[in-house]
Amino acid sequence: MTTEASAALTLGKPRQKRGERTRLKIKGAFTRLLDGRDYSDLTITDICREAGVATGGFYFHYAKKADLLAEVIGEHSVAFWARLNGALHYQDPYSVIFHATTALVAAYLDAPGVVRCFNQLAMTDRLYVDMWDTAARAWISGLIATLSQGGGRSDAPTVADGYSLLSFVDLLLFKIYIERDPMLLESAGDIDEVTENLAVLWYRALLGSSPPAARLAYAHQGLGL
Amino acid sequence: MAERAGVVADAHQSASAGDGAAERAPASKKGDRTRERIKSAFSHLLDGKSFASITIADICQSADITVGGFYFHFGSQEELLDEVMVEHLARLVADVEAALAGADGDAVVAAVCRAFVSAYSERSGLARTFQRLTRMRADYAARWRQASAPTIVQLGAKLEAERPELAPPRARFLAYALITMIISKLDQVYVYKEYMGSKPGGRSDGLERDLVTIWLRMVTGPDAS
Repeated sequence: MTTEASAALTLGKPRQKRGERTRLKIKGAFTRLLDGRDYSDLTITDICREAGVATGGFYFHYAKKADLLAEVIGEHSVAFWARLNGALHYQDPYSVIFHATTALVAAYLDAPGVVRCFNQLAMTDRLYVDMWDTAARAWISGLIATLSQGGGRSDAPTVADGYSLLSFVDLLLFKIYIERDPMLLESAGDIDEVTENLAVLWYRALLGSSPPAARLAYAHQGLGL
Repeated sequence: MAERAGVVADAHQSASAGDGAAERAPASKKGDRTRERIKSAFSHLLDGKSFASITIADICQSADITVGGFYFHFGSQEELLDEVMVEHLARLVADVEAALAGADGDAVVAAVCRAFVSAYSERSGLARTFQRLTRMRADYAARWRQASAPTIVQLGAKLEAERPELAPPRARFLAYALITMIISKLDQVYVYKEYMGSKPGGRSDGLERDLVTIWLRMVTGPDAS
């Protein structure tokens, strides 16, 4: 566990070091501000005001704004991939895909600003592209291994299929929860329905059939199941 | 990092460029030809470089015109970018609409996928730049939404006709999801330059086939499997 993660768990306890508390306040303020504004719009003064921390306190912890960004994105990535890896522990393919979709939706709902910022950085900054790429490949290899258990089918999904479908689910969630495209908002349904419908599409694309109808809560009004 | 900084800086300087293009455009044939040459040179430069790293000097050199000639036609590089993006978007949407209107059943699927693959493979610099801009800038995201909405509605109506059990909003969601699936896959090949599986470049028929396969799997209900 990282120092930051263990610090987060003991937040508010009196023996917490003051410096760590300040660091958490700065990260929390930064995460909140990113929900409403672009990273490039935020100044260190804004972040310090939101956090209730003196500018000197900021520079005690971070040399520059980009260091704070890298730390916050790094922590979110670790938590995100841990959640996705948790989905691989399920036995049946639909549960795996459903819980993976749930983890993706949760990432968008928990910290939309951080996700948006990461998406933008991944368009232009090789460092962040590689960060996503490495983790995604490892996870998808695990996903394909899990889905192929007991299989041996000739049309078993490949890592390439899994990779592009992860990007698909991610892009659609970006359009729902970050861009908030009105057409999607009126057609997609609530969060539970979005999760299920995306899981169904992902499942169908990977496995070539629909998941068992008994597993679906929205079968009667879902995607033509 | 420098590239990202440039892109973001652009975003905040120029939310509403491009309005002056129409008035400034000269009526003469020769002027039109020069204007087209500038746009063509810029488009070719975009195949290899990001728009933020291209200078007006690069464009003039490539189009074999003077800087004065450039400014006779365009008030700024942003204005040029705006015009080529508007044209790219109009052409892509027209191609997809023609594909939708042309045929039925699986032929529609292949035609729509082909329209997207052509846009990305034949005009990769323009397509890549446009996708980046829709992620980085709210005004470009809005343009895409506006331009693609009628296509998605049309595709939704087609899906609904084929699968009467689909409620209209779900048919539209499915249509949106299919378009998003295509874009996410093409982004990987042409924007992120990552494609696990067949290599881009001369293999766009393989890519089209992959897209058609995923599409048909996604819209397939339990009856067809």
